[in-house]
Amino acid sequence: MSDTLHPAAALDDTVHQRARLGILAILSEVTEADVTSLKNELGLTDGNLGRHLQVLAEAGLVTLERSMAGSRPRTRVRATRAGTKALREEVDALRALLRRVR
Amino acid sequence: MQSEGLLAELDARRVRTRARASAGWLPLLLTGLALLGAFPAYAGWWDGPPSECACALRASDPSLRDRLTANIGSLAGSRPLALYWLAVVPAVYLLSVLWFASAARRSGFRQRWGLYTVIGLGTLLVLLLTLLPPLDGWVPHSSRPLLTPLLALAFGLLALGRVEHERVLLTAGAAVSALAVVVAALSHYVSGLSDSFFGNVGQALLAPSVEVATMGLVLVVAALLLRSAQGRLARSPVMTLSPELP
Repeated sequence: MSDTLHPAAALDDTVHQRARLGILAILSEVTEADVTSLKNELGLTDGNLGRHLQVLAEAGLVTLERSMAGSRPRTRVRATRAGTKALREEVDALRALLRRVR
Repeated sequence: MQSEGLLAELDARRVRTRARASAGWLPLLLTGLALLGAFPAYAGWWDGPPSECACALRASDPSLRDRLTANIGSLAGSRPLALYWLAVVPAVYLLSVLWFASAARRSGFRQRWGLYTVIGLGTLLVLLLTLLPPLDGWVPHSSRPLLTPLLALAFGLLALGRVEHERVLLTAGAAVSALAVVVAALSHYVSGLSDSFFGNVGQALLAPSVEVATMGLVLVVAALLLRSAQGRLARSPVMTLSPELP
């Protein structure tokens, strides 16, 4: 038995989901993004994206800022430091998993 | 391998987002055009002696405004050149700010573009302050030609390159910084040497006007290439290899 944990143990259940990883990957490259842009980039529905964002916000990985653009509501999303760190750790864990399998 | 596919997908998303959120090609283009536009002013450099800094004026001189007016020529080596840069540099930043706002509306992504404006206009402000007491006394007279408004454009590009993680912008910022030093050196420290060592051809090639125009042309071409490359990346599809996670 190995002394070190299996790399899969480092995968975070909150982050380890394709859409959430996609959200964090996009937010890691920009200061903030409109919900509409995220929806279009990821090909998600409003409800689906909203649910993922809610989970990430509750985990403190993103912040949501709601405002009005004229008469239309607008929501801007930012990754927190914890969110950026979670993405980095998830990617590292996936790479470690790959190395182990090879 | 699903992990491999997921990692590739994440990388592709990051590259595509970076390209879509990128707006730095326009400030780069504007900087190039500003340098090209400065050609006539630099070409007329040799018509008269470079302006001397009036920093030796006593502090009891009438007003800061008069003092700034008297010293302005030392900012870029000649009064017309200084006035050109004092008009063009803020214009470049103003147009860039409008462009960034428009780009953010179109793409839905926002970057820390404010840093570009703050660094660039902040540098210009500091350069102007060095013409006034007490800062004018702190800058050695021999170093003054190095403090040119070109630095305001150069430092802005460096900041923009950092914000957008774009090597082209970082390289352009470094190149314009080097240009500022070379132009100051050619104009103030080694003028006449090029003629002695390289003859008329050397003098023509090493003239600040030629250096500035060449750099302007290079930046314009680089900006157009950057725009084209980012457009291609922004349109690149992201392959989702599997709906299930490993």
